[in-house]
Amino acid sequence: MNRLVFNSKNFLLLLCLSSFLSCNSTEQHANIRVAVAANFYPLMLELKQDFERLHAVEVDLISGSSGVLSSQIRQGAPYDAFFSADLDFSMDLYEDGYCKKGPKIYAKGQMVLCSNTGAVDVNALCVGGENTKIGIANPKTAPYGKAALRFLQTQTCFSELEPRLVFANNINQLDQYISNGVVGLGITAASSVEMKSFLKDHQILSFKEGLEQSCVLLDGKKSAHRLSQQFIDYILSEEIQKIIVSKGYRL
Amino acid sequence: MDWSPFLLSFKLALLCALVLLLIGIPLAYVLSFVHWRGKRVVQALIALPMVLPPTVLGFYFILVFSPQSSVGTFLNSYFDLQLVFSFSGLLLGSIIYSLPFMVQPIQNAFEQLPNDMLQFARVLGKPKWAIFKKIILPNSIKGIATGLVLSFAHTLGEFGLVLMIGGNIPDETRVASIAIYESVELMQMEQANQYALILLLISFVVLVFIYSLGNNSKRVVRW
Repeated sequence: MNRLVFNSKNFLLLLCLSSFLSCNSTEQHANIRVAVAANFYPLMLELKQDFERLHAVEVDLISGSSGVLSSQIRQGAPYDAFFSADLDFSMDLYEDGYCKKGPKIYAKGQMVLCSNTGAVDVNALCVGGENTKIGIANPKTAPYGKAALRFLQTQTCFSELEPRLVFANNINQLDQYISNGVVGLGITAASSVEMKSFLKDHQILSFKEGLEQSCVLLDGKKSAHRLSQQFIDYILSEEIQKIIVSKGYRL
Repeated sequence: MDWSPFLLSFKLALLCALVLLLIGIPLAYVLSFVHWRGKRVVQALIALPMVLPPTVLGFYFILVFSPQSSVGTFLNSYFDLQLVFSFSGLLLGSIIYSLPFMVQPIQNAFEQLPNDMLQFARVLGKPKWAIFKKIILPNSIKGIATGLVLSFAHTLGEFGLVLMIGGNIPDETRVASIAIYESVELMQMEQANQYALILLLISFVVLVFIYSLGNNSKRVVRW
């Protein structure tokens, strides 16, 4: 043991090994980093594959709630594009100078009331169910959570619903809560129902203001601008928009 | 199965343990063999990461190194270095976070060396450097190995800090623990299961290794 560590040759070997380890990550082919709101992440994982093939580029996705992602961008996270779940977060970034061009709407989100433990009825929210928890995404960071809270506030019995609320970090965590039955009811994205076949029952909530999901090209790495812009154009293309609409979004 | 989070975790833990070895030995030396004012304060500072929530460390890290801060601006413009949401930042964070796990075992080993032995060597006219190299280091090898392995393992299992200062960037900051968290969120239970099992096994082996270093398996306390 003594010789093993203090033999200078061995130590040099270790240093070489570690420097080799630190080098190999730099020599990769072109890649762009795209921050995606959690609700759109499962679909984006599928959509990006064609783009990667066509442009010989790797699209690294970073998923999270729009609020968390946008504050990461403000703290200097090296993302090239940002797909928010609403208009506000990307508009704020634009106004504060984190991007040159204004946000573009790439999808309009819808919410669903759903359950993996029993049937759901929007009109019966105020009837019974005292012991069921209601899961929503964190209203402070997730636009879907904010919209869900606004919806619940329109209910006459909101004061009784409020203590039953459980907050998830983002839509994907919420879906996991709903699917495990940790929460008996949940208000999640309609796309979750399409992308993940985990629900017993769901009902689309008719809510006038849909979530205007918008994306921006971020100022970050200049060398990635062209490809990132192409990626945004690709998502906005007619062909992809058709797919998006078929997965629980509307236009 | 995608191995890249593990490669990244190993790379991070290995580099972190090596850097800590270089910092830890001199630090443990001045803590155990040199008398100076304010030693307690430094000792407390080194031990802080053991009791602080990683979020506190993460918060200050972001505060200090974000591109809006003066330190962040300085590093960015003079060294083209960005420490938030990057591998180098993760490495620096891990070094701070795992520091006590390296320093304390080495310091303990140094302090448990018999005083006579060192004084004999001194009396026999050996220079201090030779005593350090030929007597102190070889006799503290268990402590050094424990520190090395513990800080490696601790970095491997780091989660909260990485979540705050690293984000979740593939091949840059998406380490194994983060990959597990994400797999669970996305209900990819099979993948989460594989990742978790591997981390569990590694941690177990590491701890068995550390306990067997103690060499005390045959000795029991009889009374």
